[in-house]
Amino acid sequence: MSNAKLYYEERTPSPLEQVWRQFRHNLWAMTALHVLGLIVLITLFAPLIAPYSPTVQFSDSLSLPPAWNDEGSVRFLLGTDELGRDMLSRLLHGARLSFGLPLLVVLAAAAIGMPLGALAAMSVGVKSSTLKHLLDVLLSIPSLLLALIIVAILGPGLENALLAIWLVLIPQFLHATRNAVHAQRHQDYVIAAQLNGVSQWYLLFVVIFPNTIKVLVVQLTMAWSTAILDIAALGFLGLGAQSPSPEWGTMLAKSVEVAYSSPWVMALPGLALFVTLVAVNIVGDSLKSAIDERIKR
Amino acid sequence: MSELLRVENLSKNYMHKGRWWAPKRIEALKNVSFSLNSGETLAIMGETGSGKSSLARLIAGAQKPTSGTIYLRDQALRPGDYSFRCRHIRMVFQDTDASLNPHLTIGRQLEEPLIFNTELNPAQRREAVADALRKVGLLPEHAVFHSHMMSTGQKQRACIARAIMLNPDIVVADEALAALDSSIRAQIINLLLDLQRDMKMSYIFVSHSPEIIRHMADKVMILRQGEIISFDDANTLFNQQNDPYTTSLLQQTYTLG
Repeated sequence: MSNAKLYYEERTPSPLEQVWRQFRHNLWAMTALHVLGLIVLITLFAPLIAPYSPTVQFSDSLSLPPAWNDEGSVRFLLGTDELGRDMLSRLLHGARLSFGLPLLVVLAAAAIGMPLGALAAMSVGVKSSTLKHLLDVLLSIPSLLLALIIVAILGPGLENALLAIWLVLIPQFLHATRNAVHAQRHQDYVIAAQLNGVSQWYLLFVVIFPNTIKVLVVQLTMAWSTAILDIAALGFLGLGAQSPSPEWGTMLAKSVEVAYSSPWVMALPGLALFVTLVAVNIVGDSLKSAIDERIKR
Repeated sequence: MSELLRVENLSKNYMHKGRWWAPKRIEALKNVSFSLNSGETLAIMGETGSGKSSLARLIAGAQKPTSGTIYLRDQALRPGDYSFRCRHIRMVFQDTDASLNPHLTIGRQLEEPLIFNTELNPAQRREAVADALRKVGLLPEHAVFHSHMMSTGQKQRACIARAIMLNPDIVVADEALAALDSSIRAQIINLLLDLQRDMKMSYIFVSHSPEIIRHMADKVMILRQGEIISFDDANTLFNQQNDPYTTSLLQQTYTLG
């Protein structure tokens, strides 16, 4: 057995490392990831970075264009709106409401939906079909419409909008998880593991779960971008965050009146939303293909 | 020779969801009974849909029987009791790709039965995995490989290693040779025969190929529409065939698994 340790010294990279290596080779993905990282930092440290409070009004400088314009002032880098509020501060603070809160809502929905979905897939008979079909009706209605109905019942407001989106996302997570686990449940390798005498927990978490992670990652990022869009849409319609709040959708709604005289008030929150959504989607998509590639190689 | 496995009145029905008020029932196996002595190799033959795969999976525990009982050394095997069964009966699947988990290393998968059925510590488990890999002609280093890094033949060897991890009495192979090309098939057949000689196992294998059955099997079972047409010593059966169905099965000359 002199050659028994031939390759043993060499460490094979863990699955996570392999996915990261694939991911790193994708220029778009890395760019999007850096943008996303930047937005996360802004979300976390908005009060420290922002030069002013998002609601303080400077009556001496109403509707100032951004600083690079001749009429702009360097005090307000991205200009001010019609009430003299600093756009930069509002955008930075808005990241918390338009980017951070959707993430929390998605995680909360995943925390409820995923275990229920896994339970539905692992059990058989009445328990399984009850869980599966219980929330089916909700899935047939578009998420924004459903959120509208819930907000209409509970009344407008950011909390109610968040609650509505949370309720809308739960069945989506339940279904995605259930289908992903169910697709693997009767594969030969799962049966083989079962014939090895493994416990149900081991079967779910070690054998099946790694094989569903691709679907779940996609579902998470899709839900995240849906939540961002829905909160902005509800804000735009005046059903979500209310007016003085710097939520990007609400800012867009208010800017409609001054879109001709000071277009930056409309363009900037729109741009922020666009960049955020594109970054989230590209990262999710690249993560999916990186996981795919790892198996293929 | 002592009796190892006894199957009594084993039946398996499948429900097809044609219409929900009248699901179509398909009888894959009808009251199958037989027994097998230790160290013997049983080959199951039959046309497509004759229930041979169902029988193999029922014996291995991958499916639950509708009725009937399987006894191992006069002890009834309860369906769903994997921890007892897996120490005695193991299975090798037909599709090597599908039967290995793409996200776990080969070593982790070979370790599974040891973790749940023995008291070995991690170092002993690693040693046992290395031993099993050597027995099937792989290197201990293959334990850190993922299945997509290996060739089909290596994967099939890994599957066989998984089957012999707990020193079973019976290995069930459901057309385990069908997907391999002829040279690898010859290697795997020799490997199986060597393992049988060393470990005194019984094989139950499902196959289409009369050549392989003649080479390996002690007993042959012919199935047709879920019923045993004949069950006899391989020699007897190959030399005196009365039934046209048996004759047509045994005289096929194509060499697909």
